[in-house]
Amino acid sequence: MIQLNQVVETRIATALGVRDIIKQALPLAERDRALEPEDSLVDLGVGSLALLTLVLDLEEQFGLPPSALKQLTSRSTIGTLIRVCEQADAARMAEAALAREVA
Amino acid sequence: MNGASRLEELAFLNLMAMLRRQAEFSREGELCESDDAVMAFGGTSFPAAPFNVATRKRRVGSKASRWLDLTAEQFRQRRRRFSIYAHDALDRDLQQECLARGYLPSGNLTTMVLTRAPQRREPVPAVEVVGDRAGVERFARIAAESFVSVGLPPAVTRSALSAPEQLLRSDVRLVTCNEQAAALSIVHAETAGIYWVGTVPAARGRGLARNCALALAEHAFSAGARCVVVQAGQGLESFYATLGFQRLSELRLYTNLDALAHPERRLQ
Repeated sequence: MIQLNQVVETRIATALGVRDIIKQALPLAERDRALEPEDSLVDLGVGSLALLTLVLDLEEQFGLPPSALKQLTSRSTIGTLIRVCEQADAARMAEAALAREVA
Repeated sequence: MNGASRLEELAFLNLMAMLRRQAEFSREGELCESDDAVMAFGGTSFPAAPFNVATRKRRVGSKASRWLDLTAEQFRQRRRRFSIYAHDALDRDLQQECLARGYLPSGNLTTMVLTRAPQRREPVPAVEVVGDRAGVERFARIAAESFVSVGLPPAVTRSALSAPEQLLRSDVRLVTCNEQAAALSIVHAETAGIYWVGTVPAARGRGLARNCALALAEHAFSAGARCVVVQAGQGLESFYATLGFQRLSELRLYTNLDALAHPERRLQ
């Protein structure tokens, strides 16, 4: 069984991790601003190169599958990015739990 | 062909010339060119233009789906993801094909043109023309520091500018200003294209990149260029407009993020 507190901790860590990666992609002048779930990457001034770096970082850090990557665009909001990464986390945790039970 | 169409054609030819040169600017760069495609494979796996990118040469005649199949296969063989340059108006079929395949719409570039030398009231500020390998290394250092703040990993920039002998060719001109800003131009078919314009974050707002772009434009016209072109990234259209550049058209970028069986390690 996946423990409830483990799920909560993972979700918090994911949200913070995603926000960290997004902050790095923002123009220098915007990096101190508070990020709201409804803010989109394009509205935050994330440019073409920064968008790619951000997507690759999310893929590397959260193991996003290609199907998840294909949901992302420059119009994606912070909330969407966090949700996509949480889904990837949840899928990984479920897989790990299943593997433990089988073992 | 009317004046605007001719300028558009010259800008596009210069973009392709830049892709060929950019592949050579990297020690591990490679170019693959066919009747209807230019594909650049940089010394890095970063899937952005102009490092790993393809563009259609003839905008009519090659079917978008087949063109993209062949292009994707070339990159797949090299274990690379890549971006596509698609002309806003002329490559609509290619844009639709990219979207249908789930490519990431990763940005727009505005093609802008200058058809006469900029008029200036003030004397030319100190802009240094790079003429040796040490200068190229300084140029690459400035570029790496400038572009990291827009999301380009410094290792990608260093790899992209790692062949000094190619950056010192006669059709390429590199300039720096105060060792804090840099830009280069590539001359092809009566046209100079200005690329890699950047200022280190600590020196922004002092007009240094502007000086570099102006110096390159002035030199191009004095050397007989018919026009000077830039591909302005997000938010930079107004910067180039203040130098006299006018908007010609738009290029859309689409990035392939397909899973790779054995992807190359990412440069950090």
